[in-house]
Amino acid sequence: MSDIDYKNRGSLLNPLKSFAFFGRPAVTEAIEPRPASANYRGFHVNDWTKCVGCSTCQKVCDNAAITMVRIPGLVADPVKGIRDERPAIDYGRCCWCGLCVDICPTGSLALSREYVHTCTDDQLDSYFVLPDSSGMHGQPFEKGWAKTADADLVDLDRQRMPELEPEQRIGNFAEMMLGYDDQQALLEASRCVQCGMCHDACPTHMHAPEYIRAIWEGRLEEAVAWIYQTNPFAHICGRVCTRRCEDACSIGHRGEPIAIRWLKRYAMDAVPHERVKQIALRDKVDTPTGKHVAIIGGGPAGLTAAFDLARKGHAVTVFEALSEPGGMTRWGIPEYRLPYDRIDRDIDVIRSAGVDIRCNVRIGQDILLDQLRTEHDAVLLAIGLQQGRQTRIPHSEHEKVFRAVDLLNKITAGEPFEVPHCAVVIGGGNVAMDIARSLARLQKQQYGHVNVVVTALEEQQHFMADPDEIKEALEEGIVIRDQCGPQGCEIDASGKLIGLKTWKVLSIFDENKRFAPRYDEAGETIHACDTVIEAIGQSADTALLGDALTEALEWNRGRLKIDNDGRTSETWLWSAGDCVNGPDVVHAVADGHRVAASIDAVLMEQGK
Amino acid sequence: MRRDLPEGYLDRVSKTLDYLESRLPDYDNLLFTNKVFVHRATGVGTLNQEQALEWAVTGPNLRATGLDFDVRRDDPYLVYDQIEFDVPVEQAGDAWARALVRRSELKESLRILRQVVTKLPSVGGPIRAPIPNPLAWNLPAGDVYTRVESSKGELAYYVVSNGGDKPYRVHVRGPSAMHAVQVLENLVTGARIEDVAQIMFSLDACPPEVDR
Repeated sequence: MSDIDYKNRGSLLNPLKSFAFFGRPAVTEAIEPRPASANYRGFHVNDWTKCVGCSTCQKVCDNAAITMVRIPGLVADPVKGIRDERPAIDYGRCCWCGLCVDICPTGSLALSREYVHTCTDDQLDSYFVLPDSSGMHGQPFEKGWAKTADADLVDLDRQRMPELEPEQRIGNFAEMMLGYDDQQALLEASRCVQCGMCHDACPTHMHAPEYIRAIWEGRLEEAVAWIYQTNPFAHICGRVCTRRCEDACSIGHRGEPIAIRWLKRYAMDAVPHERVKQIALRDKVDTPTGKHVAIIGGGPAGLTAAFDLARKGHAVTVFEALSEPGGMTRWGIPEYRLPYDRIDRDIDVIRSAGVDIRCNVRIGQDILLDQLRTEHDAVLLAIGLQQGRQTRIPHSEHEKVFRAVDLLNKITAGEPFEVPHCAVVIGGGNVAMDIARSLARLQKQQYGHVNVVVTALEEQQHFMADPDEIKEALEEGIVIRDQCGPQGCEIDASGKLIGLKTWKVLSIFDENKRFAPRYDEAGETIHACDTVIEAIGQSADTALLGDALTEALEWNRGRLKIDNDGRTSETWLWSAGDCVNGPDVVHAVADGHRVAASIDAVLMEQGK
Repeated sequence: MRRDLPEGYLDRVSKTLDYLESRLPDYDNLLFTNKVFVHRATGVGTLNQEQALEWAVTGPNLRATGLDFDVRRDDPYLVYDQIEFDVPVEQAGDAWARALVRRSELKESLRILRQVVTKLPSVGGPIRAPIPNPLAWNLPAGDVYTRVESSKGELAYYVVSNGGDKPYRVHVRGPSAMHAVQVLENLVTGARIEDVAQIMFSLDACPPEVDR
C-alpha cells in the first residue's frame, strides 16, 4: 500500500500517470433488472388463507405504515379467531424493516424480492397497497425476507404451570394445578401481542388483553378491575373456564396460545380478597330503586344477573334449592379442579353487593312460583341443567346404574355412598372425566387401587372433554375405551349388575349430520363392572313451572323459548344460563349480564 | 444479528477490499500527489482546534486540527477494542489536512475490514438471541446517549424514555448538521468565492443528513 509523503508537495505531472484510463473500455451495466438476494426485503406478500387479520403487524410497525382494511366478502369468525380485515401497506411510510414479518403470529406475511414500482402523478394511490399472495404487480417474484425459526419475535412456548404428579394427586381431592408464581406470570403475560382475538371470542367479552397487559406491568389490582368489568365468576373462570379465548388466540396458530385462564387465576389469587371486594363494588349505586327481583337458581347465570342488578340498586333475592350456592361449579365440578374456597370467594363478593341468597329453598315446593311473581317485579329462571340424561338401554333402571351429576352432587355434599370397586362410565365429555377421576380418587382412598373405565361413542381424539382432562385421567390410571356404543347392562341370575355390553361404533352421525349411530355387532365387548355411570348430558328440571305456566310459555325443542334479551313469552319471567343455552360457565356469565341489562331496562322503564 | 451473512459474502468482501486497495495509487496520482490539488487545498478553510471544539466539529475534520480523538478507540463499541488500527491526525486544520486525514483513513479502514473478515466467528450457534415480544417491552425511564464514529464524524442517538415500550424522544445527532451549517457559515465568511466549493467539499458534509 502506498503511503503519501506529505513533505513532498506533489508534482504537476502526477495526474498524467493516470492516462492509462483513457485506453480502458467504459464500464457498462446490463439493463435487465438484477434479481434480488434471497433475503431481500421488497414489497409485501400476504397469504390470505393464513392471515387472520389480527393486526399485530399494524401494532409493531413503528412507521405507522400499516392500516387494517375491512374486506367485504371475507367472513369473520370470532370463535376461531378470524377477522374480516387484512393489512394494507402505505409505501410512502414503509421502511422495509420487516418487523411485521418477524412478528406475524400466523406466518402469513413475507417480503418478496420485488422492488421496482413507478407510477405517474395521477397514480399516487398505487403506493397504498393491500398485499395478497400474488405480489405487488401480479408477477411471480420469489419470496425474500420471510419468517425463519431463529428470527421469530413471537414466543411460541407457554410457561408450564406446576402441577401435582399423578401419584401425588390420585389419593386425594387437593387442587391439582398449583398456580403461577410471579415470574412465570410475568413471562406468560409478556408473550401476548394484544390482538384482542380472545376478547372477541369470549362469550362475555372479557378484557383479556387489558388484564394481561396490567399483569405484565405489575398492576394486579387494575387487572382485577378489568376482570370484574365483565365477569364476577373470576376465581371460578380462572380455573375451569372452557377458555374460548385460548382457542382464538393468534399465538395459537403456530405455537401454544397464551394461558389466559391461568393469568386470570394468578391475578385473582394474588390480590387480597378484601381488596377484590372493594374493586368489584366500585360502581355500585347507593340509592335503592325500590324494585324487587327474584332469581331462581344460585349458579353462574343467576348470580351474575343478581350481582349486576344489585349493583344497579335493585333488591335481589336468589333462591337456591341446594345447601350452598354455586350451581354446577360447586355441585358438578370436583374439588381437585376447583377448590370450594375459591367458589366461596366469588360468591362472597356477590353477597357483599347486597344480594340475598336463600339456600335450601326449592321453588315449587317451599315457595310457589306464583307467590314469587306477586311479590317481585321480575323473576329470573336460571335453574341450570340438574337432571342427568339416561341412556334408556336395557337394565339401565338397575339400582347400580347412576347419573354422573347425582354422584358428583353426593361427593360435594360429603354424603356417604358405596364407592364401586369397578365402575364403567358412559360418555366422553368433561362430566364423564369429572366423575371418572373423582371415583378413581375415592377408590384409591378406600381400596388402594383404581378401576374405572370410560366408554364413549367417539374416537378418543374427538371426545368432547378437554384434551388436558383426558391426558390427566389416563395418567391417573383410568382406562378409556373409545368407539363403544352402550347396548345394555348385564345382570346375572341373582340380579347383580356384572357389566356393560357395548358394540363397536361405525359412525355416529348420518349423512344429514343427525345423531344416528351405526354399530358393528361383531365388535361386542362386555366391560365387567359393579356400577355403571351415565354421563351423557343433562336436562333442565322445569317441574317447578307448574302445568298452567308450562302450557302458557312458548318452547323450542324442549327448551324455554326466549328473545335476544333472555325474556320468555311471559313478560314478568326471564330465563338465562345452562337451562336455555346448554352447559358452559362463561356462557352462563355472559347470559347473566345480558338478562340483567334487560330486566334493569324494563324495571327502570316501569319506574318512570 | 438478524440473519446470517449470505453465502460467499466474506469472499466478495475480500475481493472488493483488494480492488479498492489497487485503486489507491490512482487516487494518489490524481489528487494527493497532484501539485495543483495540494496547492489549491493548502491554507484554505483553516479551522483551529479551539474553533473546532466550539462548533461541535467531530470526526476527520476535528482530527485535521490536531486533536487525537476517535470514538472507536477512545469509547469503543462493538468489537473495536479487539481490532488494531491507528488514528491519523493532522495539525494544519485546512482543506489539505482534512483531505490527508481521509486518505490515511482509507488505509486504516481497509486494515480494519481485513481483520474483521478473518476474525468473524464461523457459524456454530444461533445467529440471533431470543428477543422478548416487542409489543410487551417495558423499558425503565431514563435517557441514553450512544455514539459511533461514522465516516463523517460522530453519529449519535439520544433517546429518552419515560417508561413503556416506545421512546418519549429520539434525537439523531449526525455530524453533517454542524459541518454544513455552523462551520461552513463561519469558514466561508471572508473567503474567496472560488474557495467556497473547496471548503464545502473538504468538510464532507452530506446534505440529506443535515436535516435530522
